[in-house]
Formats: sequence, C-alpha cells, structure tokens
Amino acid sequence: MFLTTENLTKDFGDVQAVLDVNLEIDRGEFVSIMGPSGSGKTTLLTLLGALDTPSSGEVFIEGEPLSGIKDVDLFRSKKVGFVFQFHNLISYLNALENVEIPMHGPMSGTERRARAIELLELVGLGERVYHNPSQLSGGERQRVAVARALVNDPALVLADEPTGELDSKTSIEIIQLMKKINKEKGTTFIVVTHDPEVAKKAEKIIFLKNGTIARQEAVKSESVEDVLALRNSAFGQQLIEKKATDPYMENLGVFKGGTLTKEGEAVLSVLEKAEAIERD
Amino acid sequence: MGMKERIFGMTLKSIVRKKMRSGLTVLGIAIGIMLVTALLMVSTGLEAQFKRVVEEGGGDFVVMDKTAPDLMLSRVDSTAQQAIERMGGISWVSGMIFTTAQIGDRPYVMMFGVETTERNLQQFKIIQGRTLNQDDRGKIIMGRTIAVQEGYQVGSTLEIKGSSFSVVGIYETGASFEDGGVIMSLSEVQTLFDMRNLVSLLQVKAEDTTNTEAIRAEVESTFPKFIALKSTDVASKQEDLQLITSISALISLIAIVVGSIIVMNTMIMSVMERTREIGILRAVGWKSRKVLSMVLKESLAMSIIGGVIGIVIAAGLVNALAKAAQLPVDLPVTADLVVSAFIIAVILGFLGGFYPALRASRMSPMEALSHE
Ligand SMILES: Nc1ncnc2c1ncn2[C@@H]1O[C@H](COP(=O)(O)OP(=O)(O)OP(=O)(O)O)[C@@H](O)[C@H]1O
Ligand SMILES: [Mg+2]
Repeated sequence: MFLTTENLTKDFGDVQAVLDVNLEIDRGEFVSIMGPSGSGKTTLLTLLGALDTPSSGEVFIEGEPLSGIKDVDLFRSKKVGFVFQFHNLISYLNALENVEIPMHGPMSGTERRARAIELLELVGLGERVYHNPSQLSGGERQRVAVARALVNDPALVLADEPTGELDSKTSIEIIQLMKKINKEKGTTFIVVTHDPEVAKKAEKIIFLKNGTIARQEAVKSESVEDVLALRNSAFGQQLIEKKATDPYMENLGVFKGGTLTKEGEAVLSVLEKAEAIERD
Repeated sequence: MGMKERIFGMTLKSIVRKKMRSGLTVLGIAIGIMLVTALLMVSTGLEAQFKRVVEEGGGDFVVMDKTAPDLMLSRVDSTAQQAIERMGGISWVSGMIFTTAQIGDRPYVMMFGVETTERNLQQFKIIQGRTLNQDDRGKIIMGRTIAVQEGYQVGSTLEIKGSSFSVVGIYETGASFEDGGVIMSLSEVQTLFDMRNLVSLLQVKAEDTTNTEAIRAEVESTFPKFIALKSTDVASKQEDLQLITSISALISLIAIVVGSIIVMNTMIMSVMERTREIGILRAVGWKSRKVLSMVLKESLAMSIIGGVIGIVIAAGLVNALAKAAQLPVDLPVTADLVVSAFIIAVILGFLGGFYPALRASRMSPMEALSHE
C-alpha cells in the first residue's frame, strides 16, 4: 500500500472533524473524496499532506509514519503537491515564477526555468509562461497550480476542490489533465470535490460523513455504464426477452420474422457480460 | 546563485506591487537617513576643522583654558608661556589668537594672530606677494577665498577695528575657514582686541617627540587651570562640538526609532495581507526561516533604497546650502560617513522587519491557509 491511515482522528475542541478513518490507497490510484460541507474533507487532506498533525491515529506513506518525520517541510516539498480551490498563486509573480517557488536543492536558475517551462507545457500553458495570475482565466490558473504541484515530482497530489470555482466544461478539462498526469507519471491523486461529474472521473470515491468514511465505491467504467444503460432501455429489454414489440427492431436488423438474428444474439451476449461485471 | 536571483526578484516585485505604501515607506526612511547624514556631515566637518586649527601652528600639542567651551573663548597668559618654556625638553612655545572681526560688510571674518616666525607661518602657502616679517606693522596676509570674493589684492588697504592695514600677500591652504580668514602678527591682534599678555592657546613643540606625552602630562599637572591636547583629542574637548555631536546622535536615534516604526507598520500590514500567500509557501515546503528571510529581505531592501536616496540628497543639499550661505566650512562626504549612514539604514530595516518577519514565520501553515 502506498498510503494508509490507522484510526486517524482530528478534533478541534468539541468538534470531531475526522474520526477513526482507516484508508488504503494504492500507488498510482486516482481517488476522489465527497461529502457534505463540514464532513472533514479538508481536514483529512491536511492530515494526509502533513500540513496538520492528527489528535490520534497515524498516517503511513510508503510504510513510514508521518509522526516520525523530522523535517515535515522538506517532506512536503519532496513528496506532496497541493492544489487548492482558489488563491493558489502568488499574485505578483508570473506563471513561471509561481511554478519555480517549491523548487529547492542545487539547481541553477536556467535549470529551474527549463523545468518550470516543461511543466507549464505539460499543462498546456507553454504560451502563457510570463502571464501574471490576473491575466489568466480561472482554468488557466488551476493549470498553473497543477504544474506547481508537480514540480518536485511528488508521489502524491492532494487537491481540495480544485474545480470549485470553475464552470463544468473547464472542471472536466482540469480533471482530465490530472488523469493524464496520473496515467503518464503514476502520481497518486486524491481529489476532494462536490461535483459528481468530477468525482466520477476517479477510480474510487470515498464518501465522508461527520468525519468518518460512510462508504467507498469503485467507479464503473463509462463504457460499462453505457452498456448497462442500453440493457435497461426498451431496446435492451426486447433483446433479453427475445420478443420484439417494436416494429423498428426488424429495421435495425436484430429481429427477423419475430426471432433474434445472428446480430441480435451478438448484442445480447454483450449486454449479459456487462450485467455480469456489474454483479462483481 | 539561481536561488538568490529568484528571491531577489521576488523581493522587488513584492515591494513594487504596493507602489504607494512602499514609496511612502522609502520616503520616510530617506528623510530620516538624510537628516542623520547631514548631521554627521556637520559634526565630522567641524571636527576636522578643529583638528586643523591645532595642527596649523606646527606644535606637538596645544595648551588652552580648561573651562572655555570654545577655542575663541580660551585665554592663556604669558606667565604660563614663560613657565612652560623653562620646563625641560621643550623646543619652542608660541601663542596664537583665534578671533573674528568685521572686514568690509562681512561681520565675522576669521582672524588668526600668530608669531611672525617661519615655523608658525609655513602652513600658509603664499600664492601672491609675500608672507609676514618680524618687523611688519599694519600689514596682513589674506586667504584666497575672501580675497577673491571681496576683491582684495596685494597692495589693497582695508580697515579692521578702526585701524588701517595693507595686504602684503595672499595664501591658500585648502581649508575653507583658513582661506576665508586673515593673518596678522600676534602683538598687533593683542593690541587691537585688548588682549595684552593673553593668547587663545599655546603651541608647544618638544625637542624629542617621544617625550611629548610626558611633557603634556607635566604641563597639565603644573597648571590645573589648563588642558594640554594633541590634535587628535582636541575635538572631543570642545563643548560646542560635543553638543553638536550629541544632538546628532540623539536625532539619529530618533530617526532609527521612527524609521523602524514606519518599516514595522508597513511590514505588519504586508504580512497580514499576505497570510494566505504565506500559507501557500509553507504548503509547498518552504521552511519557516525562509519565510522569515523573505519578509526581512523586503524590509531591508526598502531601508537600503531609502538610505541610499537619503545619503545622496544630504550630500548634495548640505554643501549647496553651505555654499549658498557662504559658510567658511568644509563638509566633505567621507567614506566613513557614508558607511555609518548606510549601517544606520540597515539597522533600521532590520529592527523594523524583524518582528513582522518573526510573526510571518511563526504562522502555522494551516492557520495561514484557512485565512480569507
Ligand atoms: N481550525 C479549525 N478550528 C475549529 N474547527 C475546525 C477547524 N477546521 C475545521 N473545523 C471544523 O471541522 C469540521 C470539518 O471541517 P472541514 O473544513 O474539514 O470540512 P469540509 O468537509 O472540508 O467542508 P467544506 O466542504 O465546506 O469545505 C467542521 O465542522 C469545521 O467547522
Ligand atoms: Mg473543505
């Protein structure tokens, strides 16, 4: 396991923001976290990213407990990238400089610049390198934030409502960008979101309620979803019942003279397979 | 190197972003440092002048009245001169008078009364005419500056305290207060100013310079009314100068305190506005001491910019004013002075920036991030 938590708990006085959370996340997984406002999503993220310390319990990253790390600042800069909902960027620095900010270690100015430009190109902003945040759209600003999160090649990216301020089309673009990076680089992503369309792009959705995990759900592939929808349609039902009630079924070529054609039987077998997948 | 470049750029961008606020802060610092520099110029200029006064007679040390707050008010009588002459190891002792008189429409022209011997006059390089002789009566030599400004030449006659004098030579030393004055024989000054048997100070030359200190101590113990000073010490014994020095130290202190408060105010505002930014920097892995140095660099940058502006303005303004007022003083901008003013600017930036920087660095990343 890449990341696990053991009875992770955080309280603020009387408020139990996170309570006995046990998580298991594989390396390279793309996980989304949903839940009502105040359910502890942000708090959980800050504990996973060592921005805050738990009241009890433990976070293990690559088997190592976070409580045992001496230099958490260094840990964060090496292992974790953060993307927040808004005001992610330093307003008076341009895109390039914002991306350079987390870099450390013995790198020359030219190397830093080259690395930052490479990442801005990766997020599709190769043409906007010298723009200030005020000269960028909301979606572009979030792309810069994604580039900055990736600059030290972290194993884990934590995003807290990264699309919260964006329209639905731009939201999907940003989440697709994250998925692309997840596939290409194997970076683990944990994305908090209120948007079900965004959450569905993950492989797994964790639902939080009152600080605890209410349920976890694997996201079905979109293609399987579409086939299942087809099965539930009037078209699918007629194939399953092997009885054409709609005269157009003959025109589609799946029935001939009231019985299934070869094509009809082929489609039916696909529908049955999708059903079997869903039962798993 | 890359890191420094980047952070330096960040510092400037952050300052430039709030033009009005940063501009006012820099202006406040510039005014303070200008004041400090101007006062330093006056006190170091006057100090150099006092040193010069003592050195111009050519002795190893001078003897003057202990209680006089100023050279011009010092009185030493001729019995003391004779007593010192009789002490062992003395090569010569000669008296000098420093005073002022009206010449033409100038009310306060420096008058130097000196014994007309070669050793006492050699410092005054004659550029026209001749120097004074032992048996000159009714003759003076005159500094180049006043001669040029007032249109006197060798052969001109003028009136001092009702007596007529003729100019026999023009000299130049390079020190404004000398080149703006006139030299007359000691005995004529004594008559003219009613100072029979009195001088402002005595120049004492030892036979062997290694004995200077012992002789100096002996003079002081023999004449408790007098003080014997080497040229390097004379400035510190001048009450006028000491007053100017302590006033300028006080004003410098006030400038540092006020400047630090201005810087602190600006930086506290800046840090508060940028709480969220600081949270982001911490989230991406900046250490708290890097945040500290970021804030400190900004306050230092502002105080250094203000300091440089203040020094430059003071250097230009003070000499322009001295020239316009025709003051016979040299107020040079020495390297020491620039370094002192600069150090004061840096101290001010550091004092003003430290608390805000500490506050910024102590913010927990969580707290800073939830700020909005
Ligand atoms: N610093 C804090 N001090 C006190 N209570 C806090 C603090 N941070 C969070 N809480 C409380 O902890 C609970 C969980 O907060 P959290 O911000 O994690 O919720 P969330 O799921 O991210 O909500 P949202 O969707 O609105 O962002 C809330 O009841 C909140 O009021
Ligand atoms: Mg939240």
